Amino acid sequence: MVSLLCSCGKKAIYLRRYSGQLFCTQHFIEYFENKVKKVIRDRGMFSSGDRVGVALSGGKDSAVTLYLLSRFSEELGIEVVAISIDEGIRGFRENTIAKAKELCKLLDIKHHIFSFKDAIGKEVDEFPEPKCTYCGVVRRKVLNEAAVKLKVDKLATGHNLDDMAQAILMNYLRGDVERLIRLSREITTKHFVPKVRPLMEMPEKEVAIFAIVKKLPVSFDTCPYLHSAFRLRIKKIINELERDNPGIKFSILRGYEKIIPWLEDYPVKKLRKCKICGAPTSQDICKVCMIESEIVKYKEIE
Amino acid sequence: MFRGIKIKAKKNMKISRLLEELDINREEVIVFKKGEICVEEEEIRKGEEIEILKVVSGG
Repeated sequence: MVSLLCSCGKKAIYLRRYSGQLFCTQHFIEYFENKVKKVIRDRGMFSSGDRVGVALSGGKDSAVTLYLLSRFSEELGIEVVAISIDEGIRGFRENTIAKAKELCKLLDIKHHIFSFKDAIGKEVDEFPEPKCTYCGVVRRKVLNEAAVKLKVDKLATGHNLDDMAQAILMNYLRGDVERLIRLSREITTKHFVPKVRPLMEMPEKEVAIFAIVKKLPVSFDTCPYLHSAFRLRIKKIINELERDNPGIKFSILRGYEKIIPWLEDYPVKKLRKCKICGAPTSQDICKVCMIESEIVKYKEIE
Repeated sequence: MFRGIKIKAKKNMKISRLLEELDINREEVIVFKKGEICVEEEEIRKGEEIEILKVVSGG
């Protein structure tokens, strides 16, 4: 029978299946914090003096990101602020924003809230279908504009290992090499604040356990509009693979990172300036402006 | 603190086995026993209750 005690003799709360290691609450917290710190250092995510904006949704991933960056801020020499985006999803966003506010108060972090309504005059509830596609593009724009306005040097998001594995596999399966490359090389121009993902090597389940054992105010609600069938299918497949072959999510990320240097010479489309907003784009008009006009047109037709 | 699904075991068994029977992927949930997070390799006795919280968003 498998022993259910941590190496220190205390009751285990987590079994890291790919290594067979059992952790009690205290050792799990230690392991998790040290690992995230190592990922931040090894990947050179921040420079001393950086002002870091954390994209805070109120869910577990962004809450854990904010908590850890706030905890490491002195050691890393960074200043941390939180940025929340209110997309206007009634019955969902009110609760997550409330959790975000609670966390910022707890951590004594300055919290800035920006809304779709203020940015483009429309809320997600008013968007046409597929709402997720439109929402994703507009959220990135609003978040980036907020980061520029707040003069942050880096934008930290709560993307975890599961998110990375899904994005990699989705782009492989679609044969979308450009997106695959973009996943590792952020566009850094004056229009885009560079993004970092401190939890990119942490499995989603570990992030959830950390949020719970640290008693962080987080929401486990799921957006009512979430219906990206392909992503959900990939997520299910990866979790089934992980259940039967522990460590496969890491293998997906490691394998991807081994391939990326070989794609240095892959011909990616040269970026031009969007004719409407001036942001870098591979088309005449950027996706955000295209989508904004589609949303406006949709409302006019209605 | 969080609302999960409460399940009572019908016989002595490993939690992982119970999850399999319920067609729940252990990678997508956290299991609580007596209000505390527990490892899925733990045994539960007949009549004992566990709470299963889905923690993987949207899956």
